[in-house]
Amino acid sequence: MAEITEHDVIAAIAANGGIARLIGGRAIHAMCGEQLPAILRRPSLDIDLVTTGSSRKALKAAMTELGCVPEQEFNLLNGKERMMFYAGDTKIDIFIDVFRMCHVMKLGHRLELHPLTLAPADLLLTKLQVFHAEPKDLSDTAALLLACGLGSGELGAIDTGYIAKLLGSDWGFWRTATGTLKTLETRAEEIAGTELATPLRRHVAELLQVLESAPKTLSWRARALVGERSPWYELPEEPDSNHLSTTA
Amino acid sequence: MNVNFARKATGLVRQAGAKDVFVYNVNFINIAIGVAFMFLFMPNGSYPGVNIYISTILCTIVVLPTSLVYAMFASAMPRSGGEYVYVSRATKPLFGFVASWNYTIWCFFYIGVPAAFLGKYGISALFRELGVSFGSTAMTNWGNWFSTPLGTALTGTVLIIIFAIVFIYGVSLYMRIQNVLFVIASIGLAITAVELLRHTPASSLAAFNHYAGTFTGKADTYKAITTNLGSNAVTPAPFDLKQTLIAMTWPFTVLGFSIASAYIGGEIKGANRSQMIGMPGSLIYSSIWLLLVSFVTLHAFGFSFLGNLGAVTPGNVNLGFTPTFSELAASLTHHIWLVLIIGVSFALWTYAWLPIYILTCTRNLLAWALDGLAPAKIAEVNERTHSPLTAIVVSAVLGIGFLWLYAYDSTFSTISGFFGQVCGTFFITSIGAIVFPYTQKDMFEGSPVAWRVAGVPVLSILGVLSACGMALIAWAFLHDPQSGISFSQPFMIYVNLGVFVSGFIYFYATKLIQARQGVDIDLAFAEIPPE
Repeated sequence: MAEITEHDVIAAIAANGGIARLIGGRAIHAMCGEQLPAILRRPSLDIDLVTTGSSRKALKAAMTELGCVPEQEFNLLNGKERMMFYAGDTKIDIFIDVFRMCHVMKLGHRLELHPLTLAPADLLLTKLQVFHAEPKDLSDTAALLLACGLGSGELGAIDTGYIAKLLGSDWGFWRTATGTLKTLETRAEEIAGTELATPLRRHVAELLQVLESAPKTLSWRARALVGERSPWYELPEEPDSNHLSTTA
Repeated sequence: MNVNFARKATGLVRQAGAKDVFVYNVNFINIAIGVAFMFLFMPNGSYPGVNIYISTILCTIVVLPTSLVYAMFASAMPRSGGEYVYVSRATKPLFGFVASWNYTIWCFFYIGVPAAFLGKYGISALFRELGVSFGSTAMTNWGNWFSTPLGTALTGTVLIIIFAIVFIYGVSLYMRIQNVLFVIASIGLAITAVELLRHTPASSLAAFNHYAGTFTGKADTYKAITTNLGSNAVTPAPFDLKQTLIAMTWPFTVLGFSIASAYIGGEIKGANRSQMIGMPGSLIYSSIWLLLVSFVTLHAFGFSFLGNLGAVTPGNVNLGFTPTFSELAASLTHHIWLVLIIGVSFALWTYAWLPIYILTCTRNLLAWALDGLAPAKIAEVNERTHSPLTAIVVSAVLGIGFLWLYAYDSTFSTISGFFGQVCGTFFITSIGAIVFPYTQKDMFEGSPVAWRVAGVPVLSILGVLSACGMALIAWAFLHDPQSGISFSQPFMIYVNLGVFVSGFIYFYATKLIQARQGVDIDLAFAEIPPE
């Protein structure tokens, strides 16, 4: 089987009347393009996508046309919000309307903003929501900040207004995101190299300032009173153990 | 062969957490139904010399190893399907399927039973309590109607349909519903216990006669009961260990089932911690509650009163149906809000088995279908609901069928199906636990429960204890005059045997049918999901 790319999958879903957009490492590479500094480049084997509930039929049709193998047990138990397929060695992980990991992001209405990937702000949030951020998450975050820059709705820039509004209504997400940004600030040299550390720190500080000063909802303030005494994030697990099969 | 199929993934947030699992298992144990059964059947003279506390404590000790076996298996193999997965891996797919088939067929039957409980024990008592409080004969009559076969079957049918719809919307919705209802039911049970604690047998007797007199038409209903029983009236007897052991069947009907979360293992967050707390934890928690509520009930009414109430045929003294401990507690108060809390909270316990049986059946059906042991259609996700609609509908329809059978045929109004689950499933799973560390060395050593005592795997030791415990429970069932199963009444033995043997027949028949269609089931068992 010829190697299937993210473009093939997105095009096949579109040809069947649906919509899907790229997230994850491949999305960041596609978003940042050649501006991505070598130190922040990383291989990404999986194809991670977001689609809408109304595109479900198109998704299945596309996967069949492309000869992808469904992860049957996983899709059976989790198919309402998530589906998994395999194209040879490549895993295709598809979120449907909702991105549910350490925090929850409703993305179904955000897919039209960019022709290939999610909007830069959404891509950044998928990285900032990781509670135990690994070097690859910090690297992707740095790449987005450096390549896209911060803005307020400009095409291709990270929409800080949108991020501030979203996190201003969810204390848990705000707490994790600011924590991840502070970690990145501390480890800027290690992640982005000496040359890029300074501009990276500037972007991080600016974003942190926006998040600190942004208006907060009543529920945000109420949850903030409880603080870290109560868990504010989920810890995703490996999905492999969903297999119902008795294979031994 | 490594069976963990480990591969790097982006992660998944599963639907049920540790708290959900604990509540799920406590609900499946069902504290209030347990106490109700214990007082309806244990003091009624069938077990002269029985000690309810000792019987409950012994039962807890006997079933604890089984609970731990399932918890450790669920921790080592956090997948949905229960013993189907565990025993298949520990021994052979055939035995895993037969153990699962046996449990699942009885689960279908027991979808119907708790559905019947809502009308039979929950709503009927609530209406009678409200009827007496408001002086409404009509409400009392409605209460009686809900305990009739038609009332029981219709109420149960509605309940099954409601929960089938809930599961179509997803397990997380059910978990939210169960947690809210559990809090209400638990608070109500605590209030019920306090009300019982406030009374002594003398004051309770007067209150009961006043309460029951409104619908029995007798000034002294309790006297009518003892008169009707004559020489069969219950009198306290000296402690008898054998009778106390035999009577373990009643606490077992609830305490034996702390393992419900095993069947949804693939949908549980942090399986190791959740299952290790959720299964044995729920058993200990529920056992303490059983003892406490038993204490306050005996404190309020005394053994002989409860025994005679359980022994008399309710129709003989115009009782309609036998009051449970909850209705007796309601009879002690004139405060309408208290009556309502006691009645509603008890009704919320009566349904609790039902949704868990539906989910268990659904998950087992899915597991079979994915391995080619049930029609593939069962494992299809419905395009509109995005849920395994066929599996849910099959479970609900079979449950409704068994509900009507239970409601109208008294032969099946017994706990004899639990005997089948003990012998045909829990015993086999115990054997699986004994051999698992040796037949699946890599998986066991790689699991979070690879514990040893003096070089012997803890799981194997617990497997031996569990097998012995289940043998003792099976003995108790066969000697229990009220279990509905014994060598002198062999019909239900044949039914249990038939269900068990049919698993072998089904397995080989399916294998044959699939082979004729060019499908080799053994390949399905041997297949590793694509990397």
